[in-house]
Amino acid sequence: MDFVLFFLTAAIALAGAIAMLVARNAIHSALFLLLNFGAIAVLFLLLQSPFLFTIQLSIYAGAIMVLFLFVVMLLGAEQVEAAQDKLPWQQPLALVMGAGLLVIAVITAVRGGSNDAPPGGEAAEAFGDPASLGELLFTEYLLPFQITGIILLVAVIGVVVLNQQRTQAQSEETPGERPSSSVQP
Amino acid sequence: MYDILDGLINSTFGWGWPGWLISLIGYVLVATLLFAVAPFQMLFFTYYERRAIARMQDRIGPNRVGPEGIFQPIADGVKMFTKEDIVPDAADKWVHLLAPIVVVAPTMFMFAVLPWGPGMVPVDLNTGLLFFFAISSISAVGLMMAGWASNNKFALLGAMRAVAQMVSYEIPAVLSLLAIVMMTGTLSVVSLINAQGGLFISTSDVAGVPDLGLGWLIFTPVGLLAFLCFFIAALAEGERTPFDIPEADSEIVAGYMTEYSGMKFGLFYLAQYILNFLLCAIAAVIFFGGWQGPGVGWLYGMAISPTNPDGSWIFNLLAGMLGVFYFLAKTYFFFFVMIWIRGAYPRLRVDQLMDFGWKFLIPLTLVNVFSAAIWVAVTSWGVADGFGLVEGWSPMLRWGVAFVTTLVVNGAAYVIVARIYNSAQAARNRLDIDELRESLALPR
Repeated sequence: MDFVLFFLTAAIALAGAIAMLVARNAIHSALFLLLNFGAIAVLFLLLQSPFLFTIQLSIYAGAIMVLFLFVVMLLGAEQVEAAQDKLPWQQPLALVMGAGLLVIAVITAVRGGSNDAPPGGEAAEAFGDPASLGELLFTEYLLPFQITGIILLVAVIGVVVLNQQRTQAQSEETPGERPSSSVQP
Repeated sequence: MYDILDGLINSTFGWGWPGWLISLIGYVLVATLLFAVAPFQMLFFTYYERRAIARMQDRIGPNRVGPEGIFQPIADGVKMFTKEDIVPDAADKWVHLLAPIVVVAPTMFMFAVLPWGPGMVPVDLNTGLLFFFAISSISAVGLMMAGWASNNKFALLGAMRAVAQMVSYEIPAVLSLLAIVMMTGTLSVVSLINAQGGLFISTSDVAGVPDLGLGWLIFTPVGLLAFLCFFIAALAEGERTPFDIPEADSEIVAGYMTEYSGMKFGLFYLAQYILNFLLCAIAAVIFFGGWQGPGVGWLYGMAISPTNPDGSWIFNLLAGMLGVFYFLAKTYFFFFVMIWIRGAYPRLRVDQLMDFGWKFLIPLTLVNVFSAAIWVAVTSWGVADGFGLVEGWSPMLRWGVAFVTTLVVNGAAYVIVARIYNSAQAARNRLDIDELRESLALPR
């Protein structure tokens, strides 16, 4: 039963990922990516971890995808084809790195023996539940956790600063007008 | 469910079916039941809303189809089914088709963690609350798909408004839940309800008094403020007046639903009313104890349950009926409040909506999280947690101190935030008038 479900979900995840790369329309790409995220979330559920399932759904499928869609729709960038690639070295590099990752994955799968039990035996009862995850975050992984928080904070502050600069520049271009930041909602 | 089916199939009939098949049958049964119940809730809600709002507006409302118009929603349903399905020429056909499905499916998923009565929950996820809000954020994607695929200005505007509103108001909703999660220490909906038994003056039991099932979180200052913020946020998420900006018919036709007709439009309608039902239900569950009420705990104590295997099934039935009655009574009452608000308030502007969410609700809910921390520290910490001051106090004294402290903190926070917010709004309105005068070139 688990096997059937796993292969179905994995197939959907792969199909979503490939379709995302192939789709010409940016909105379609984003929607296929959403399909992929959803399938990954179900895989977490198959690993007996409802917490990771909900987090995957709310953060990736909910927040990040909505943001993507919002930006693409606001900019009207659905059909934009790059007139000329500004980073010509990017594509071959990505191909090489992707191929390397695939090779590593295959080697791991072959050498590890996919039918062996995972190291540590059966998944613990508390695997991925909010309490044990929180405890790990606040003890063993405290420093990475704090650093991630600071990076996110820097991003937020950066947005505010950039926005402020632009509104100041605008108000300098058109003297007499009040800075629009004071009336922005 | 699993135990009953297992007993019936393997012990009574002796067929010896494997465990996975029995649990599959069990879940399919429950899912079918829920899929049958959900549309009926929606049908009832449309009728309920139309009659109630008609009363408030001095009208009668639908009263022709059947006794007192009770079959009106069914007639409307038939009308929806027989209408022509129109897809605009310039629309993106596939996304246009999928959008209503992506909107309806998550609302149906949410029923998976909703407890109807004692022992009557489809799946007791240990992260049920989080699941509820994670799933509800998926339908925002569906709204966006609908707005974009229709290839219509009004539809896209409506979708933008809907998603901006949903994303902004999800924050106060989740923050107010965070305070509750801190107080009860659980993310599971079932243990959240179990924590709300007992007496309403104290969540801990007093000796000699029976379990009245009234330990609702609304009776604490933290719960009260969280409920108010949550309910306002729920109004915005369910797109109820005064937050029905995404489908403001006087401005943008019907928002993201503009280009939909027939049953696809019906699906959006269905999703909206089911979402409203679920939001009312979850408000009842989190703050008003769900099925908790006088008598349910007493009846369920004599019923068949994991802790009491040799109870009587008749008490299962009685406790279930009473529990579902309490639960639905609370839910329908909250929906009545929603209708009430619709009858009383005009629609907000978009900027007012954003200001209210970000500058009023979010600061208040953040303060509320702080007072939840005080509550937890005073009621349940001791020397072991580095808070030896309260070690020797009796539970009642602890409860009283926590109550007064959080009441003062929350009250002060409300007064201060409301003052700042009001003066900021007044200043902005003055600015708007100045701008108007400038643009009209009128003398000051």
